[in-house]
Amino acid sequence: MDKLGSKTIIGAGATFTGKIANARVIEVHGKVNADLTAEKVSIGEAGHFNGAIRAELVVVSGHYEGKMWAGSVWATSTASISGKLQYKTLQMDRGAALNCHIVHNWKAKGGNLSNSENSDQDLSLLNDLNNAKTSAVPSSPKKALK
Amino acid sequence: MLEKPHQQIHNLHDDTTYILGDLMMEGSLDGGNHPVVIEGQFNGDITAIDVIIRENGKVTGKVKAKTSVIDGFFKGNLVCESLTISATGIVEGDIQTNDLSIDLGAEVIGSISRVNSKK
Repeated sequence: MDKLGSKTIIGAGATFTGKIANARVIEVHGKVNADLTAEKVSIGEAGHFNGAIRAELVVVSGHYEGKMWAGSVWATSTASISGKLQYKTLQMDRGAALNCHIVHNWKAKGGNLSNSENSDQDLSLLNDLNNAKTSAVPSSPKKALK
Repeated sequence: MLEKPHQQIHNLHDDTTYILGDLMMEGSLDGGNHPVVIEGQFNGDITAIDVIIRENGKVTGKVKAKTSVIDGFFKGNLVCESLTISATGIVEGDIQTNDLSIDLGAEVIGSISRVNSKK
C-alpha cells in the first residue's frame, strides 16, 4: 500500500467513462473518457485518454484527444496527441505525433483560456499607453503646481 | 506480518485498476478481466472480475463482479458470485450472491438473495 501512495491507476483493459476529481497522481493504461484535474497524469503506451486535462505535469506515451492545460508536457516517442495543448514547458521526443493546436502559456496557471499572443500584445499596448501617460501627465500638473 | 489475502494476490500491476487517495470518480468503470481496487470514492457502475473496496473506499451504485471483498462502504446494488464483507465493511442495499461470508462487526442492511442463473 505504501508503495502505491495515492497513485490511481486505470489498468490495461479497463474502461472508464465519467468524471474524475481530486486526483493527485493518475496513471492511465486503459481507456478513459473523462474530464480530469490532477497534479500528475501519465498516459501509458496502451492508454487512451479522451477529454480535458488540467494538470501540473502530463506525460503522454499513448493516445490523447482533447483540451489540455498543463505546466509541463512530455510527449514520449510513442505519443499521439490531438486536440488542443496549452503548456508552459514542452518536451517532445523523436517519434511523437502531435496533431493539435499548441499554445504556449506564459503566466496563466492552467485555467486561462485567453490566447497568450493576444494578451502579450494587449500588455505591450497597455505599457505603451502607460508610458505615454507617465511621460505626458506628470509634467503638466507639476507645472500647474509651480 | 499477516496480510489480508486479497492484498497478497493483487500486487502492483498495470492491469489492476486502483482508485486511491482522495480521488472522486463518477461514471462507469469496466475493469474487464482485471481487478478493481477502490480506496477513494466512486459513484456509478463498476464491472470487473474482482472488485475490492478497501477500508477507506466508498462506493455508491451498481457493482457486478465475480468475487468481491468489502472492507469499506458500499451502497447500492451488488451482484457477484462470491462476496466477503469484512469486520470494517458497511453494506447497504441489495446483494445477490451465491457464496457469502460476513465477518463479525460488519454492518449489513438490506436484502440478500441468490444469483438467479446459478444455484
